[in-house]
Amino acid sequence: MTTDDDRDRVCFEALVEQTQQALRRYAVRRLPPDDVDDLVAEVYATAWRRRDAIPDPPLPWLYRTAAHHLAHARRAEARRTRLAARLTGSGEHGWVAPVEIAEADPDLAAVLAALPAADAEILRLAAWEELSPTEIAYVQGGTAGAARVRLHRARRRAAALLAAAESATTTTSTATSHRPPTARATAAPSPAQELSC
Amino acid sequence: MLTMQERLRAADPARNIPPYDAATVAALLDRATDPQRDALPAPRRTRAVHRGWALATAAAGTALALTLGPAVIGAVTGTGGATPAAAQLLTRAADITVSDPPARAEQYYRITTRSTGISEEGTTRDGQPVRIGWRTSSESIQYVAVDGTRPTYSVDRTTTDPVRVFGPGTPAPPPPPSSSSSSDRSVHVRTTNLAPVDIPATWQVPTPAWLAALPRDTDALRARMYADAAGHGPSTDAEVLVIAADVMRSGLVPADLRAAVFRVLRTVPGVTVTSEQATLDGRTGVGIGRSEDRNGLRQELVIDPATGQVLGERTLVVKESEGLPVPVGTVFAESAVSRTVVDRIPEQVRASATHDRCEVTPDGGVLCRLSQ
Repeated sequence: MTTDDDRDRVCFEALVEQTQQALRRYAVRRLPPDDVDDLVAEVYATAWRRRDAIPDPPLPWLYRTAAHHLAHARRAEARRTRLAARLTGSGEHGWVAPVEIAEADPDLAAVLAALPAADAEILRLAAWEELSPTEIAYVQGGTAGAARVRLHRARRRAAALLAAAESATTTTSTATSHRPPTARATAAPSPAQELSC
Repeated sequence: MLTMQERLRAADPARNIPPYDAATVAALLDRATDPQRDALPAPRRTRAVHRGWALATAAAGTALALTLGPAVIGAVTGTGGATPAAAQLLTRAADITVSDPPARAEQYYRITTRSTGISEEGTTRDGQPVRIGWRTSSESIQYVAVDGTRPTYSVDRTTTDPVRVFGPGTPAPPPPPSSSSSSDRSVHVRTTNLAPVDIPATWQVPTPAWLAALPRDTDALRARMYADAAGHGPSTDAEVLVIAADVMRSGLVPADLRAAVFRVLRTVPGVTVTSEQATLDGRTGVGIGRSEDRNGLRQELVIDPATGQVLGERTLVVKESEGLPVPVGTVFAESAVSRTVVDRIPEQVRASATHDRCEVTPDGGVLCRLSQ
């Protein structure tokens, strides 16, 4: 192994250490438990092959790569991977609400499942991965302006569905408040790495 | 009252998920860096599906097919096609022999997209939660090299102050946060190191060369569009309309291809005239789309019947809903596209551009390191 390889490896270990919990959570939110580690491993394998191209901070790049893996794993022609075989049953954009969210907030889980898939995913990326519209645009492809508009729209649709769901089950609750994406108070992505990688 | 964001966070299924332990991280590292590891299957290019159009359902298309007259069915290939009015409009638009403004390889297309849309914020007034809807407008100008060999520059700006469209009016509500920061009203100018020829083209991100290579023959183009649409969207017919709208939105489609796309749309079951008169950015055209709607919204492509040009697209509120308290017929969002040819990118645009470093990934995506 050359010195360059050694340095690459050290840098890569630092990257994995820095991002592994966030990437694991990304996968937990989108996959059955048995498939979580496979996705994480696939993403890091891609990251290692593309290690010279990973931007800093790396998390949006990792999410984007994970989204690519999920998207093509869901295609019928990619059935040969184990991950794909499990996912193809759920349709192109299928997202099965993890048990935890269905238990924590069944109305919300139902709304996420009922929304157009891209709307639901943009809400997840904003709330759970705490991405800004610019970062969402990077992960999903497209412009920040378009992501901002889609986030607005998704929140509006979600609120409307939620209001409908709740007015069906209770007469007192109409939680339909949203905030525009620019009013976000979310954390920035991980700070820049200190390593000279 | 929790916002949607807060409610989602509270229900995050991963909020108690810990980091991997050291042994698992070591195994992940070994698996990632092992050169003997089996190559992953060849990735397929992922595509962005434009959501609005994808809301169309196949069922209404079936119902519409019943209204087709024999003359229309005879005029199209396959089983059925657009409604008579839509077919007539598309035929007329396709038959208008308008040539594109002449453009030389070293020139630029200047593509202007003016967009307006309603956004919403939640707030409290006297302890009561209220929602306020705002209409905001923006403009995007793109300079795209005619031959695709030089990077595109884009200039984005918010063009109007937000106008309240629903919600309490007195006392005057605070302006929405989206307009309160000075940066949002300023102009954003961006470019990248990649030229259109460097980027794998798709219906969503077409390039001049890719558009030039698409078939103009109706049957051949129809076959191509159906092949590319297959497996996506609620139905292949609906998805063909989606990718037609995607490519038209670019503002780059040459006149002969535009006519060919119209001829294909004429054959797509469920395509109908959704608005006899649709005004976009001061220009009036006819809206076509699929008549079905979901979530109370319907999207349409607006064509100028006099010139055959696509004026843009818009989304209408077609059903009352608690979530969007505006009258039926309100324009929820619209964007108008127009194009001219210019010799060069204005110097102040070049000088003020932020340069993003981008690269094409093995799976055909584009990754950019966004400059701040």
